[in-house]
Amino acid sequence: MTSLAKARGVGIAARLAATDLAIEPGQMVAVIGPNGGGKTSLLRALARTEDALGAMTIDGQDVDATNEPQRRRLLAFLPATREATWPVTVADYLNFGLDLPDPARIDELIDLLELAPLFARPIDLLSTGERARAMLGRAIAGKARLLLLDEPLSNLDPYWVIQTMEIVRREIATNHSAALVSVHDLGMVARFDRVLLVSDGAIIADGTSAAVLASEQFGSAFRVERGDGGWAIRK
Amino acid sequence: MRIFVALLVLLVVAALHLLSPFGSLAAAQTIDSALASTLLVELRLPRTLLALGYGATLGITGAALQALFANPLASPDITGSSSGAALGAVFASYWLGLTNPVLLATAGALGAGLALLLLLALAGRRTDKVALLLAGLAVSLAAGAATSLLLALAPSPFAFYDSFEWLMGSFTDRSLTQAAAALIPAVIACAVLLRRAGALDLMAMGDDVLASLGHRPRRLGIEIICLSAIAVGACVSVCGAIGFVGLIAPVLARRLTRGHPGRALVPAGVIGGLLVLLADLALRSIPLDQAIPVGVVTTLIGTPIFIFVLLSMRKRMAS
Repeated sequence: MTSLAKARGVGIAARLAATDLAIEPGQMVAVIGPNGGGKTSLLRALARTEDALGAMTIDGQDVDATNEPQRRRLLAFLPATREATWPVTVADYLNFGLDLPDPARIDELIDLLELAPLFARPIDLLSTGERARAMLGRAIAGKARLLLLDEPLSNLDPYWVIQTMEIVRREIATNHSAALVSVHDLGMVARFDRVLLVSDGAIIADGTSAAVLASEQFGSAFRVERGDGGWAIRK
Repeated sequence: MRIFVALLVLLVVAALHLLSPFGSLAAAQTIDSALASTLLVELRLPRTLLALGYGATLGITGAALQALFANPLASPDITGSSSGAALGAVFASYWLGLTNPVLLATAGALGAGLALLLLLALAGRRTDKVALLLAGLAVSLAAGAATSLLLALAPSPFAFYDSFEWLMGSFTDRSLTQAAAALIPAVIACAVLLRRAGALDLMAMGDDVLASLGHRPRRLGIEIICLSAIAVGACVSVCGAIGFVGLIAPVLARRLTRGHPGRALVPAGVIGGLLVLLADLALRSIPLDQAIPVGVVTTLIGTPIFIFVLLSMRKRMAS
């Protein structure tokens, strides 16, 4: 199968060692790891932030060599922060995710994310969870080939955690794209096709959720183990 | 459509500014038409061009700096770039003995640039509003004190008196050459700033998202700071500092652009130009024995608006 995205030596100085990675179309990949292990750095390096090293191709195109409209088609990045610096409306914020105006797509997102009562409100006045939905909407609006979502499930109530997973799953199925999603809730990991375990600035395990959660690397990185009553501190 | 109406209003006010008071122009015309044309071209035209251009520059640079610092309190005066420009121009004028308007404008731009870089070093870019205000205040006060010191110790005993009208912001008795020295760099810098409006809008999503879209936030930040310094520095070196327009015009402009920081650049320029033209027009329409610098008027009008903005921000935060 031809890879959708190929990363060669991507990294962030002092945070993520040079990493090679290939993502297949239709894949929904979880990025897990202890705090400070490098999950955000991996997503930032793939999103080609200013301090990102290495090189990445999506659909065979060198991402660093693309301009804004081309880049929008290739990748979309949702950072972990839920801060909104300017009081633009939710509808305008969703539009930031599009290269050209597309009212039909905005309407679709407003329905999908149940933003109708909020769409005319300034984004900075929403609750953190509501803002998380609007920001997710911005990230998926442009139907990019690779979605890089940093903790999209945090600050959400259980309904929206499941709904967000389903929305992302549907989006990548429809667009034949792929998503890398960092998650903290280990209970959600089984819903992903593939799991990357990131610790000490490197990917230390890569496989199905069952394989990664059962691996020795998982136990030593997270210092937890599965007990009778769920996850417990590793003895 | 709205922008054409706004530009038309700006044009009408500029024409009013140029022709008012009409009585003296008509009187000159009856004496000698050459005198009337000299009055219009040599005296009034530089004043109108400077008021319009400086006001627009303050609006555009204020909007760009606010977008860059993600802070509605950033502006050329509050970030210390106006004071830095005044310091550069005073040093060049009274200590280096420069009189060429182009060299003075360059010195002003360098002073403004240094002030903005100092602010960046003190407060960082994505700083909270209080830190930005305090750092801006520190830079402004330091530049103001250094300017006073340079004037006090200047070889010319009249430096303080001479500089009063200049540094407080005034358009009277400026030549066309001076207007060109201020406005040519300002117009070029503002034109480039306007080309960055789209990226400045996207900056509302944070530097990492902006970079993921193929922009370079760090380079963009340095560009905005240098271009603002060139534009404001050149204007300050010719007309002195004009307070609050760079702060208020973008705040009013964003009400027309539904809060978009980058899209507010053009309306902020129009509003800035209008505010300064109207302030100068009002000053000329009121018969006074003493010449009052226009910077004093904009600061007097701007202070209550600034307080209103601060109060509405507090209310917004509380909600």
